[in-house]
Amino acid sequence: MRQRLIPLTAALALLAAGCGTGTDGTAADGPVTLTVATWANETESDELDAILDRLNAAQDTYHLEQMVVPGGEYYTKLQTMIAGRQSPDLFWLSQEYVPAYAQNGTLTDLTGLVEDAVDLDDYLPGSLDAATVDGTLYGLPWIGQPYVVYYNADRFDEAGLDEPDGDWDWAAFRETARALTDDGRWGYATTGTPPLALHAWGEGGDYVDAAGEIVLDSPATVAGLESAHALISDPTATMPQALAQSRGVESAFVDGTVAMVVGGAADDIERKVAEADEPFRVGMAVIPAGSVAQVTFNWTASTVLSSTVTDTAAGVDALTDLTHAMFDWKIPAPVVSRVGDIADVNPQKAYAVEVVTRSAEIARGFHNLPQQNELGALVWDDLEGPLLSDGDGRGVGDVAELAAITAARMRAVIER
Amino acid sequence: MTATAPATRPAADRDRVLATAAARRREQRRRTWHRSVAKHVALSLVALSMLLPFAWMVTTSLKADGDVFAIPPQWVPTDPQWGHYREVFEALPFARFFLNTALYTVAVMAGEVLVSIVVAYGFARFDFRGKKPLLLFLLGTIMLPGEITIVPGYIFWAQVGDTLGVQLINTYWPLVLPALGGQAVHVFFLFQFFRAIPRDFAEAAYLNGAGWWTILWRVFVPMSRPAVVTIAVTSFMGTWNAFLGPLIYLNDVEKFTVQVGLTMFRGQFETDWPLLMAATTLSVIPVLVLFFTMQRYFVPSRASEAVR
Amino acid sequence: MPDPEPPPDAADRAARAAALVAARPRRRRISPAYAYIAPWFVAFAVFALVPMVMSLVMSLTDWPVIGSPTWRGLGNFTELARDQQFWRSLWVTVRFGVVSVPLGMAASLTVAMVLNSRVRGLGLYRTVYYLPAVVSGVAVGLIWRWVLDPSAGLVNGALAVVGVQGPGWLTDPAWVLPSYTMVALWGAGGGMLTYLVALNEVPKDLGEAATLQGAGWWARLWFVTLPLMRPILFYNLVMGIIGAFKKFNDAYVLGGAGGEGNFLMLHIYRTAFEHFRMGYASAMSWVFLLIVLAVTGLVFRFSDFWTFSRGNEES
Repeated sequence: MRQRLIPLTAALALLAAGCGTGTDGTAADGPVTLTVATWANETESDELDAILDRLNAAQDTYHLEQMVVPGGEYYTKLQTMIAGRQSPDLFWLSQEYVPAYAQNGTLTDLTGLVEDAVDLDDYLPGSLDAATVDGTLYGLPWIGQPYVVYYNADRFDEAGLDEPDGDWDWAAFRETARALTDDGRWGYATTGTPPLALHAWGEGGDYVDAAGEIVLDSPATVAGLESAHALISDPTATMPQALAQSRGVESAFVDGTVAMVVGGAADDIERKVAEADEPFRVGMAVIPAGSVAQVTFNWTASTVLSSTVTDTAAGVDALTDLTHAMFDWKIPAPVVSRVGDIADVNPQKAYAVEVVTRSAEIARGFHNLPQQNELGALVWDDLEGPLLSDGDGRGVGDVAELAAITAARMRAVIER
Repeated sequence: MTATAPATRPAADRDRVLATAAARRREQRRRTWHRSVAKHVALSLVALSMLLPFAWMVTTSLKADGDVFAIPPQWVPTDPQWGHYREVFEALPFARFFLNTALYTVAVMAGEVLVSIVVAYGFARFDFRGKKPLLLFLLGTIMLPGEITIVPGYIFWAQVGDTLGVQLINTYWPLVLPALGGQAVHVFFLFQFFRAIPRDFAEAAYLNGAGWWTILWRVFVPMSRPAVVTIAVTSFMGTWNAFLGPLIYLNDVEKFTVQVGLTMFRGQFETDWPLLMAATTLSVIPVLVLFFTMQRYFVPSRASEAVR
Repeated sequence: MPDPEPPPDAADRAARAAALVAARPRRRRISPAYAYIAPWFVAFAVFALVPMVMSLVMSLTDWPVIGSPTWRGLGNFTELARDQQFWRSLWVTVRFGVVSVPLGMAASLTVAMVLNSRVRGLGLYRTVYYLPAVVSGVAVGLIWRWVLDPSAGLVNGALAVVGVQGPGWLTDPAWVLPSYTMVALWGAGGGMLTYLVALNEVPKDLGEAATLQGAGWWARLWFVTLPLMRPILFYNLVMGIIGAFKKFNDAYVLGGAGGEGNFLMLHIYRTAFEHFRMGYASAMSWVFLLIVLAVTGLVFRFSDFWTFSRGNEES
């Protein structure tokens, strides 16, 4: 007993000193074994295993093994493993986590290491930004899709409206939604998709600007939020929030209750509509413009290389090969040359290639800070949630004031 | 309940007494019957409210993908997809998950129950220096939130493994070994029962030559059988449903427990609701079977119909 | 109770009686109790002590989990004193506990007393009432999300039948805590087990004697049954308080508008894993521990925990 306590105390000291052992790979000759952590579900993990098998067979530098971490608790487990110095060698990271992981030195700086194998210029700019922190590249995005407007073309015919061609702004969108609203049916529904920040971007505002400053309370941002709030809380255009939450925006679109929704360009909406009781023709349009710019949101995740990998060369090989292999997978790849592939992966998307391509060109992500999660939760609780539900039907008062209070709290978090 | 009238009474009087007695009996029977019907109606109504959410889970497991969120909700699936229960085992090695979980649960339960009995006995039967603070300390550890010690715990096991040169992460050891100390909650619970057993019993047995150890297993445990069964059921259920520990410590899919396996039906973007609900339904069955069979230990017995 | 060993002779009995007497008041010998309670303390020292000390040390640092800790002294604790979110979530937790612990205990006890009689189908009823306790984790949250759904949910559906427009249970801040109380009551059948066991120990004769003396149902409950169940009521009160403070699982899945679903444990968990502030979260959990200790300490103080089985006390 007592003997055993000594190494334990040593372990504690070791931790406090912040030094570790970093035991990765194999000492002997032959391929380096590398673990890649994913949040794939049961079908995806099988498909990914097949991809890894092919990669492993094709060379003898590395041997990739998948470690599946079930969905919801991915980051809890990942962070615990990193704290215990058991970090997986490669892992998926959603865009909002990249700055925090980079800041804490858990990621390998890929600048100058991957350019030979991957054409970085081919990436959609919004995607690569999400893997870059202060000009340093920390990951290779493997998935990214711009948000677009899906619409029920039959409802447009019925209402005698022209289908949107993409040259529209939010005011026109709201008018269209009003024309599509009648008894028990609505023109638009949202529960937070697209992010409300998108409305601010259209007015030239932002929550956090490129320099990392909080600009949530700037006039342009407030203007965007006010127009978003007006649209969302207009019962003659938009489905009431409580109903939208319980119905589910997508299913309300599929069954014809809502005529326009925003979703990811690769979402499987066309198939669901085709299989619905009363199928209709689905159309796709670019997100409406604000008064300053037409911008859409791009959700991105990257594969990163842990800084604990000792054989960086093998790690980079594995990372780049894996990224290329995943571009061939069913997912929407975040590169310009692949945007058209969406029709090959899903033939029902063939009608939309042009809209997806245009959307990809105007897509961007958030300017993420290391405190992104905390800031995101704060903005959601204090600002976006109330705006979406109109203070649960009781109104939100002055949007500018709400934004100012929230911005002050964000600044307090950053300056802490 | 037989009404016997004194023989000395006149016949008419006796008849009247007998008639009233019979009427009272009838009245009483009617009233008990009414009461028992009322009781069953009330019990069933509450039982229904307990069952409805569960029924939703089961019917969802039989629905086709498109019908899960249909409005109005479908109570009886139009075309029950019994195949989902087979698919659960095809999509993931669920048979393996069940075996893993069963072994893990039995190991932890055995450790927790047996050791908790011994520790509770130590606290309940004896008076010793430091009893109060030691018991309070044990109780205090129940209050420490496990979610926050999980990371230090993980670091600890990883470092112990490194120091001893053995693999402990990605094994069941960190999950099973701590059970060897029993479980503070169970100790507290059993302590409350053991201390109520009159000391005369134990001391009489001691005077008759039994050792303290024998007295524990021959006197205390048999006299507290329902309490022991209770902690066994609780321990089984807690381990069977444990999530955070197995999630953190186990890396290989083949080593997963049922609870961790369940979450694999929830993807980043899409959840396979019918399969998730089918698997959840299956995961509940072992605990229910155990509880149902353990019933007989809680049957109102010799002593306990005092309050109805 | 009887031992298979041959009956001891008189001398042995006398020796043992002497040992018993000697062992009691003077406590000269080391009590055998230490051997019995040792396993828990040994296991605690080996498996739990180091992680606990580690978390105590970390509460004095700024530790982003995935990076190295930096020393912060008591900074976390002074920040905590001024952290409105922490006190807010403590307040949410306390309000939930004050309502749900007594209600839950009453519900569990009622269920146990009703199901402690000879009813036809007893085993089935008990199993059904126990069911909510068996369904765990993700499933409970998902089920309740559907039950409490403002427009498609079971509760508001039932209210609509009687012409009442139900509230937005989890979306209206005012209804979030009532929702959680409802969830807690639904699971009250799980608490029935401990009461059933205790009811088994209540001697039937006592109740009958009371009845003969004209005691009604309430009088029997109040003066006979409950006093005899004090140990288990105390156990459930303490565990209920701890459970309310440590509420996590369903809150993690259900959430709740306006921060009303932000229970303390959830807040701590988020701070640690989502906000990368494990050091601060450790400080919070130690303060949390002190608060729970203080509350349960009060319960101990104002109960007769140490003396209620007076027959067995030695002084």
